[in-house]
Amino acid sequence: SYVSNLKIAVVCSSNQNRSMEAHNLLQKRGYRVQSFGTGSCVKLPGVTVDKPNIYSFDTPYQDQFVDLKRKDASFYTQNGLLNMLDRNRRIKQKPERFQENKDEFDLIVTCQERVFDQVLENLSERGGNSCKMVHVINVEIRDNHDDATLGAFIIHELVKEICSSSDHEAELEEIINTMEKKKKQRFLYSPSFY
Amino acid sequence: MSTEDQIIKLLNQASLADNTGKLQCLRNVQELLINKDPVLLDNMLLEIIQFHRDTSADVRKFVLGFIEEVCRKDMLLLPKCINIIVTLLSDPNLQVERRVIQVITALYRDMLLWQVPQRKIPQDMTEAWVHLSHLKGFILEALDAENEGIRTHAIKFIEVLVLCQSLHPNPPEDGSEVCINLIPSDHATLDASSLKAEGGVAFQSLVNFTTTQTITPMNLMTSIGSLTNVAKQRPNYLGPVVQVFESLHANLPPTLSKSQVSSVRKQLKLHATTLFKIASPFTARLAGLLSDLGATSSEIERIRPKTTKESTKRSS
Repeated sequence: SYVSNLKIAVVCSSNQNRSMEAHNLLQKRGYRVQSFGTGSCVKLPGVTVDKPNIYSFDTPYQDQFVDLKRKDASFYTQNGLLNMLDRNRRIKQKPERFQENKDEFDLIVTCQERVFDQVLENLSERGGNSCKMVHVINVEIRDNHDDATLGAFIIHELVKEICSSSDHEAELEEIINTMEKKKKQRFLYSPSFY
Repeated sequence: MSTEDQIIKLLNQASLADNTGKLQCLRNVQELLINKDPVLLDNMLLEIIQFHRDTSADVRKFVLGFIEEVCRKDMLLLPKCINIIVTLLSDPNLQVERRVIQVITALYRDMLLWQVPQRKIPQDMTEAWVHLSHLKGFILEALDAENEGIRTHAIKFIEVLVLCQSLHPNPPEDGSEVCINLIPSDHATLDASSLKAEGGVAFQSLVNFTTTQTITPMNLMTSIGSLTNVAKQRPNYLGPVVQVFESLHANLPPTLSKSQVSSVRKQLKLHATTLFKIASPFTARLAGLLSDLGATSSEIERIRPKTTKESTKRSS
């Protein structure tokens, strides 16, 4: 059983670092959470800046882990990628692309403005007629390990506030305003409908 | 054990269980009735919807969801459920009230869809339609409701109403959509001209609501989305919607915070882009609006509708 009935999605670009860090934390705290990426493929830093590791969303975290370990175990251990993939493979089998998922959520938290735009664009293109409302909130997080950890705590705090509200639909704007002041950070917000 | 016996057992368990257990039992019943043995629905329906008196708001919301699902599968069950919907519209819990509006929105469209091809409508269905039409009046007035969430769902209801009660440029022959064009002039229960007039009034009330200076960001963004859905599917409303967007761009409510302004402008840009992709006489105005909202000329050219490019070439 979950601490809240709300169905939550956390979305970043590659469904590796920011969304998985938040997925991990929210799941541990008992929330009903899934995570996604909106990119066309999964990109992980390579040994040089101009040679990133690129995988399709269908590639299991396990395969990515084995691939990077084979390529340069010492480098990818040092930069934390093997550790991250090890964490990810314990959470779910492979990254998931938001645009290919048909589940309906109550709350979607994005980790980057561009991802927020892509999520809203995708929801608007779906053209469903169920009139089911979904709240989309962007918490801007830089794509590195430390910021992902801090970002996950902010997302958790926001989710906790929303889920503990007796009427989150009516109180959402107030919750976001309060969090903005508390965190000294701006959150983009938009309602959307399935 | 037969499915019927399983259902009876689960319903007995539900009446004795705590809220979580009750919901689980009822969900299992719903699954058995809808996916395993739908022939039992008619007989068992009342046993389930009687839970609308339950003290738990979640159980009452479940009943509403159940009613929505079964009526959308078999509209002839609506007469047995309509009184419950009417009762729950005055529920003290606002979340239940909002769920009622969502259910009415879905059933209003489906009930119109069901009625359009019927030559003769049974008395109980006529009465159910009268009830639904009465409920429509309440929802149209809910744009003035105190609760923001209620207003949000009223906006979505108006979107559906306007779409159903307006002229479709290419009415679908398979009856998959409702529009005024498909209602015969001698229809037993539907008067096309009054429904069309009502649709026009509802659209105008949504326009007025969207441009009020006291509108909240959530309602504003919902309205922008709803107006876009209407304009996208009913081009005769495109002009007024473009005008609303231009007016909003020039004059956003002063009560919005900086991040709310950014969010609303993003919505405006997203939806103006959707409308820009449709070839229309408003392409130039929408291109100007998109540019004002921060779109670069290459972005605009990339999404410019093809027919407009051709017609521009022809006219030059």
